Amino acid sequence: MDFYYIYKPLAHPEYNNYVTPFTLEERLMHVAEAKRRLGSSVTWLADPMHNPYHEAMARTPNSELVIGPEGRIAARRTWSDPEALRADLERLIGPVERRTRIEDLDLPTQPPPPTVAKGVVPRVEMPPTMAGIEIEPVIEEGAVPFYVKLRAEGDESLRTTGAGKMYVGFHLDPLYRVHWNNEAGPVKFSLTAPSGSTVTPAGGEGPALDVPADADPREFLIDVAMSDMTQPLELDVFYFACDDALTFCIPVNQSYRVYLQRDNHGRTIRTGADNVPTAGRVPPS
Amino acid sequence: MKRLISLSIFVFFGAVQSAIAQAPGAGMGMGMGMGAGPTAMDERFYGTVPGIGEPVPDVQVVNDRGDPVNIREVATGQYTVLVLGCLT
Repeated sequence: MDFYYIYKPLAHPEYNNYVTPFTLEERLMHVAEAKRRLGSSVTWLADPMHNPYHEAMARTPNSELVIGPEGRIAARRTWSDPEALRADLERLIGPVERRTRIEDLDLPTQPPPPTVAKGVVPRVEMPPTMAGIEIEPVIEEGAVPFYVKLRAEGDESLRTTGAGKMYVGFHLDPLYRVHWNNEAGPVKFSLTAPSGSTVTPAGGEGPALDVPADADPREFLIDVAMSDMTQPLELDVFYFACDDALTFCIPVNQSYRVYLQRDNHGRTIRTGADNVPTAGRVPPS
Repeated sequence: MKRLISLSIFVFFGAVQSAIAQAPGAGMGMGMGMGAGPTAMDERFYGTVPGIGEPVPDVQVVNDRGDPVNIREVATGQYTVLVLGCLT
């Protein structure tokens, strides 16, 4: 009998500071992080970046299948449930002589990566009906990773009519162990709209801070009016990527295309100790 | 003996989820949303995923080294449990 976890897009980006990976290599870094945190020996597989298995599972976050030896589905459920799974296996294969208890296992679970100070930069107040929209990082072969990753959201008006509020947030990727070096200079970005469309403001930069380093996202709200919703906005960003081990601090220029269509794999932001939905965000579709 | 080994693996598998919930700064989100009664997600899942007795979807994923792995091939020849998960 074999067991597999299959790694999928993040259900709730930002939770424990994790952000959505941009490449398969980064998704495999998430798998390695999951192994580290769980101390797990269960085999992990990963969905490719176009998420075929996640789609086949109706974009559920934690569904479970039991497959028979002939490759046919023997049990299925929307949410993994160890007790129901045990019952399935006893029904399908038979009872066991001795149950191993969870406490019999020594699982060396680990906390998420530590960060430098957070809570230095106030979060933006999100307008209502916000949800993730599609972004396409421009990935150049041989270039440095996206140490800082864009998340973009739009309100319902923006997503349906092309005119409305857009959120752009620049989030440190904790798997790269980097921070904002506030002595090196703030993040700066610019937006370019297609002809006949407007973005206001068409750029911005992060705040000047007295603290030497922090890990808060840099967030901005933009008024957008697009004449053609099929066209993307072009976003260019500049920042200094500085690692926590103080081995490098380098200037980075990176680009994105931002589309107004809802990102069906973008999921819902949840933050805080209770992992509750953040104000302003609508549930995933 | 083989069954005992299999069960230990199974218990470990179930324990993984508990461990996630108990880890410092915890919560990978697995299990969130469970509740009484069918939800829109349930309806989408049961309306999309092949039913009992049907073949598992013929989908290509990758292993932890990035090598292609076919789900149908992996899940043939023995009982197999597949669970979706992520860090949040």
